[in-house]
Amino acid sequence: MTYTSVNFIFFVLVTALLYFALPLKKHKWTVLLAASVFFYLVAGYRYAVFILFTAVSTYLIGLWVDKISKSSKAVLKKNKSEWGREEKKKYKNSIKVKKRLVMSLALVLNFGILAFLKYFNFFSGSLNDILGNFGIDFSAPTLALFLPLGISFYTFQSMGYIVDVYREKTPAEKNPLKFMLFVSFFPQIVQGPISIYDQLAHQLYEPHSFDFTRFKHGMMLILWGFFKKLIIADRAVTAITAVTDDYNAYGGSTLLFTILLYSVQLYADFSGGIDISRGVAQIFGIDMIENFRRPYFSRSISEYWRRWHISLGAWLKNYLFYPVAMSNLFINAGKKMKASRFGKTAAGAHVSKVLPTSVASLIVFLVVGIWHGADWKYVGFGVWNGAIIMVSILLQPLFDSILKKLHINPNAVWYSVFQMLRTFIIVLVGYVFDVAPGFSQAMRTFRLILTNQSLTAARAEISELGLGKKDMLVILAGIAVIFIVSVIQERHPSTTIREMLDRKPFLLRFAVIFIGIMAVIVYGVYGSGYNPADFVYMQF
Amino acid sequence: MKKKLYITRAIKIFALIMAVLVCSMMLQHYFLLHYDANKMRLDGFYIEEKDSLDVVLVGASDCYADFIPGLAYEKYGITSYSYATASCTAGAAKTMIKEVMRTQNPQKILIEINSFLYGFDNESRTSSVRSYIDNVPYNQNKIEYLGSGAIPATEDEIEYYIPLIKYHGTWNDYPEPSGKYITQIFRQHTDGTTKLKGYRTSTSICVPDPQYPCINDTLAQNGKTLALMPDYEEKLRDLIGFIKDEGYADKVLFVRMPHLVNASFYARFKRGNAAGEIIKSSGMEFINFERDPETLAYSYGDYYNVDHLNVYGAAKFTDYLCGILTQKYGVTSRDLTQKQKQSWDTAAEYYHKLHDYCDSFIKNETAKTGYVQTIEENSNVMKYIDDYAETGKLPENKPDPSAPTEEPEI
Repeated sequence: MTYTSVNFIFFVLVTALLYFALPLKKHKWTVLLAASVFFYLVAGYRYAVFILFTAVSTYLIGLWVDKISKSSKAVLKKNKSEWGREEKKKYKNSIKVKKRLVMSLALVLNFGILAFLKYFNFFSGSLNDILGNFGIDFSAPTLALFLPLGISFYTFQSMGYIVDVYREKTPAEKNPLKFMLFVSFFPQIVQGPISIYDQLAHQLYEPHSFDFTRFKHGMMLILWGFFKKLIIADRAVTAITAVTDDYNAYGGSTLLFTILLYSVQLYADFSGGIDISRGVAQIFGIDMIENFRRPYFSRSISEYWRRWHISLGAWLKNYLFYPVAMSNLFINAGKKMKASRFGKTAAGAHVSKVLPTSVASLIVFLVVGIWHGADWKYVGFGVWNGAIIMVSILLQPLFDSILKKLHINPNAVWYSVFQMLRTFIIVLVGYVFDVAPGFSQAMRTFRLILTNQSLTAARAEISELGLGKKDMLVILAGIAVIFIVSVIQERHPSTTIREMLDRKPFLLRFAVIFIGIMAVIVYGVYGSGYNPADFVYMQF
Repeated sequence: MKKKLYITRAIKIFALIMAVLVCSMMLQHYFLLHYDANKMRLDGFYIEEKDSLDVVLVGASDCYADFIPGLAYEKYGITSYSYATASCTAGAAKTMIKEVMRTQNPQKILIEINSFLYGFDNESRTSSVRSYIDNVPYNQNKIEYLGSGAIPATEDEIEYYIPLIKYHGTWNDYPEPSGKYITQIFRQHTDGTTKLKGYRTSTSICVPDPQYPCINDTLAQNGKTLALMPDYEEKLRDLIGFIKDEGYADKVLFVRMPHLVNASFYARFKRGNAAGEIIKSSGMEFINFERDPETLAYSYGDYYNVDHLNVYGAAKFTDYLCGILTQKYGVTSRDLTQKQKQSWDTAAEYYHKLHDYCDSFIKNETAKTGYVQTIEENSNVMKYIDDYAETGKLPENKPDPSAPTEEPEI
């Protein structure tokens, strides 16, 4: 039951009917839980054991960590007057270690499962390759593993919760069924967004009454998601798949075209899917966090990553970047550098100041790369993005001085457009790793794009990719619509297009929605005549 | 106040849903569907006036390629139509009879048995199933057919009830090939009749294949049989049982159309004999034109391929078959209304136009350049035929290549 199927729409409407019709207000959340369990079991009952394990282990360990926190507070309160500062500090440290150990148990167990299922064969294969290069005849086994639906998303979300409980940002959830709902909420299980417990949980458990405006806005967001996914992404994917299926047969121009098309397809697919998820949640009165904010309008790669897959970025910032950048090791390294002779120079002072941040960024993006897949090409993807950010942080003063010398106003429109284009090109370079079947082919792609450009060959090759001229026109029209909507959103960030539409005359609203629905019906790629692609991020 | 708000909202939502539904239905029925000669033929059958046909041929491509309704009317006064689609499945035969009887009350229904003779599973071929059932209007017979397990396992049942799901992407087919059908289909609806009455042919002459020489001269007395595939035999027996149960036995005549039989089709020929034995043993009538000396005498020049007669062969066969129908089975012409007469006079007139066009095309174009044109009721072809009748000139450009716009007939 994919998000773009008729069955899913029917399932959502039935769930909504039950949810709003249930007279027991306090227990409305049980409808969402039942629907989520049903959705997950329909998707594949064999996956259920994994999500159940994550939910149960995280729930129990959360309670354990919470119990340690509470009992330690009681002990401190009890001995408030008796213990001195040192004793209190010593006790607090011992509790911190204990809590960290318990929390680590959850992290090891759950990330362990994720790593095993997702990366075992990758490491096994890589080990064989490395040993083979040294002439060592050793064969590590490869296993027939499958990836449970949404495992990365629910694992990251659950582990975020456990860290928040450890940090005492949130109390542990007492009700195991409620916690199960937080882990498995069906609109987000397929591809996120990765929600924070504090932001999502209370919305899930609170009873929501039917609100026509929210319902309408939710449906409109779903329609927008369908537009992006079915009209653009699933049409573009035909050509991309044709190239990736026979990657070595194409020249540089066709590969460049494919990378450009991929940038459109990936955005339309992922953001379209998220729009559907958020729209469904909105029908139930639940606001899920925004996951995309016009990323291709970013003026730097750092900004891009704050606009693209926002929930993953926020998770990594909270639970990986800060712990690494603020760790004693990194802070001490920065201090040492600052105290050195190099640190006394202007450049040294800057480097020692931003070094922890830049190295932590590189580590974060290495993780982002590995999160995307078990392949060296994804390591390349992570390193590329991390290295660009690292270099841009380290060389920021140099860039500033160049701008000053060239008398360039960084706020000028032309410069903003230049920055956007520059960022987009950097993003496209990263996408080469995504599209290429492997790391070596990615390197070959760069070489071909730079040295093997032929419009004649490209025209002939592109015409064979399964996309007719009319399909291209539909994609271009779709891009134009997204672009116009994005510009409007960019100019009015405090409101949504839907709210703006609400203020327009009925006939205009009617026409926009009607045209949107008919466009999806006519130009959408669906039905058995096609092989609709799954959501790109579905198996992450 | 709240009540008024709810009513306004309900009206708005209802208006939106209705607008989408009406628009979708219009698209589904007129624009976003799979247009081909099968669609045109069946559509043409359903616009024939109720109970106005004397003979209906039911089956696969042999029916509409080998029999010319316009000629049958001109020579014998018989009104006829081929209610047939390319590679039609055996499972569709019963529904075809039901549909014929729902809309017409012919003196004879000729069932061509090709659908039962395959040596492979044609029943689960999506194109074979869809070429027929997609073009049948919604009614109880269609629903019964869809519910009888006829839908291939690879297909989603809902797409047969809401074809828009399957065919919404056919906007890509405009202006060609769908464009040439859509103008014609509107025209035949406004005219209330078709000009070719479902006839379809090709401007080709069958060329002997030295690897597979024709063995027609040995077949007249060849009664060898090969068992039908179990599923087909079951379907044939089921069809015969249905015909008898419904009291159509006197109306139905099973036939096997003429073919150029060679070694690669010999098994099918023997299955034809086996099917004939089943039909005859059940007390029903069967004529096997694969063993009839008259039709066995047809030469390569009478066929456009080994399975289908061309315009020359079809003219001979139509004449011959009509003779049998009138003399042996007592089929008579009926009194026609002025409108019906006008329609059939036009069909006869177009038969001649078509014949002359094909004759000229075969001799002046196909014979010289090898270029083959499919002749069917679409706006391009009808224009060529009309232009030729008026000016005596064949089309200079060749915008309607022989590449089939429907699944190849098997």
